[in-house]
Amino acid sequence: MGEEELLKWAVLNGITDASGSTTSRIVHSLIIATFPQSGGRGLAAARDLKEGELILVVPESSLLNVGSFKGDEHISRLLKTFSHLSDFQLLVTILLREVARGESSKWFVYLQTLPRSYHTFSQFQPFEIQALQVQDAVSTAKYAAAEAHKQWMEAKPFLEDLGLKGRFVTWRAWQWAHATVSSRTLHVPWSNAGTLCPVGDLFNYAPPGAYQAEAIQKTSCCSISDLHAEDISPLEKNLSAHEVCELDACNTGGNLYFTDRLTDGGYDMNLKSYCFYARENYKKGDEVLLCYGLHTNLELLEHYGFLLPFNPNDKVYLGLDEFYGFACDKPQHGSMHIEVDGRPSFQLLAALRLCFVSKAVRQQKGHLALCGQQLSIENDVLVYQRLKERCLALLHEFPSTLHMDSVLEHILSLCSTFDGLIGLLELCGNIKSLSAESQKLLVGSVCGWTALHLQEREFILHELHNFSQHDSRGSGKSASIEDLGLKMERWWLSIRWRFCHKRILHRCVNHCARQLLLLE
Amino acid sequence: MPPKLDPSQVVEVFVRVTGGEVGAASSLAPKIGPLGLSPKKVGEDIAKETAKDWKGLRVTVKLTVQNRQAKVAVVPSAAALVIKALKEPERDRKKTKNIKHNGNISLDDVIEIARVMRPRSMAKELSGTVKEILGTCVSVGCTVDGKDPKDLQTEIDDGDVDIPED
Repeated sequence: MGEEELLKWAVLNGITDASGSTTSRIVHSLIIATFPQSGGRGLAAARDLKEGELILVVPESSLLNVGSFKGDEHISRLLKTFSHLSDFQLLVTILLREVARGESSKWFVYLQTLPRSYHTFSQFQPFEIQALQVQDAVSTAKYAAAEAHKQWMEAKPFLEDLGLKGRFVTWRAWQWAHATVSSRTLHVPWSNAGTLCPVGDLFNYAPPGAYQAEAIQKTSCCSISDLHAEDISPLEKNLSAHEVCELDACNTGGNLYFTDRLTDGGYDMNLKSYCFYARENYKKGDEVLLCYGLHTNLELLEHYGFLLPFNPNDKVYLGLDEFYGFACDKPQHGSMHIEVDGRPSFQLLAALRLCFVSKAVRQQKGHLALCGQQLSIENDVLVYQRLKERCLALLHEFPSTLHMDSVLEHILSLCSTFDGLIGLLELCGNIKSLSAESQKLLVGSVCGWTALHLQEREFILHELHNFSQHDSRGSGKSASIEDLGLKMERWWLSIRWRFCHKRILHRCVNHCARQLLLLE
Repeated sequence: MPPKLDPSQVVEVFVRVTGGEVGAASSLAPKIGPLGLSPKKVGEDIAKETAKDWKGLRVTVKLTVQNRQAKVAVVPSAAALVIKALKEPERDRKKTKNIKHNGNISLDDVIEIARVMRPRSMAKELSGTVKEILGTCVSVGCTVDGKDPKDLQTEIDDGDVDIPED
């Protein structure tokens, strides 16, 4: 596999694990392995690792960034000529040049091991974008795709001046390089675009506050398994012991870890290398993860091309413009959103509380709301009622419900093989005359199909039909099976994302209902 | 947001707490709540960190937060350092109130404190910083080497007392 060659190349280029022993090699601490749960390749611990231990050191000479070509006069001159382009565009162009150089490039082995496809927003087609359903997400995706295209048009002269021709100047090549740079670069002080780091970019993501994800899985009302069998509302009645409802907002929220190190890696000026540290104790064989920021699922999907089904930092912004006037004058570190467990954020709750009281009360007791305290019971009742109504209204506006999305997801996961995909397309081709056999197939293998109403089933079949139509439009020739498979993966991500979004809204509705019960 | 591992995306929060004690949630909540964290839990953790050196003293703590991880650093203030140097016996802050800090500290203590506060001092030389700390001793109400701190200030000006330059 290419991974062994990558490790050999890495050792030759000075990438070590800084274990200090005379035979320090990367494989002493880390090995490349496949983790299906994390969606592919990652790094595993080759021995027991302690929290805070230095596990990987990548010297500056191995990093691929805008500053790597100081010795090359031609490139340096061109970089100066095209300094009006952003650092990002310059790095993408340089990456394409290195790929075009083939074996004569220093990073040939590393570039061979890069993924062939990504699922960042710059790759999304209009079909997948509209499948996101939420207006915010749709506009973000459209903007990202358009921006990438604009950047390509601007950088074309630079590509040509570098001597790149043929398939390396195409939009497809730019899309690939754009996604690589967007999803794999690490921060360095001398360039806004960051740097590509061999071996260092193989780490998979651990969200900050990962322990909370497990808690949410266990105690949440809306786990995926619940949805297939029953409706949401009966679940409200069965509250588990974990879900202790607290009226005082001071008790809500997550925890902090107190450490000496805030980030899991960084460029060390003294060592002139990129250093990575273990973020917790790992046993031999565990996957070693890197936390590179606090991101919502939308941000993860936009920039890195994946999302986490149980992301403790996922948020839903309600767009409550009418409440913004009541927020604090300087909302320094908070925003108004719904947290992943359905609770309104600190700022949102304070703003809502202030919104529904009279001006006199606001002047007298407003500071209490800004501290996160309740103003009065009637006020809180009003707040939670309005919030619940708002969330329900938002959920009704979507063309599909949470249950429908989970069924559609299930159908797509059944078609994860190419054979399954072809079968699905044939099925969709005969949508109007769905035979009894096909019906039986759907009923038998798709969990939750029977619970859907007729209109909901028609909607799902219509969506599948639209998917099958889109591939053969425009270019005249039908897209390859690989492209179809990628398209399906992107569509699956859109559905997944909107599922997580709606799930948070459902949790918020449940949370408001619980609070109202307690307030009575 | 690309690129990854950006060290500049930090949030700094300053809170004023009494070392080793969990403060009222209402003082922490407006600052900690918007970050999406539990003020109670953060208060307990700060209390644990400050209990080591600063028990019973009112200090300003700087919380640097990134990715739900935080570093706690006590921002040294001259008064807190002087009161710490006095090594007063522990008291129940609810029962014994309005005490006078009548103790005595040595000039060496003052010079050590001046070294800690040097980066934040306005003075050109260390002797200037020492005079600033002596001024804090006047506010606190203690004596230095048995003498009135104001007298020591004039002695430094006259050159009677030698302050080593780092």
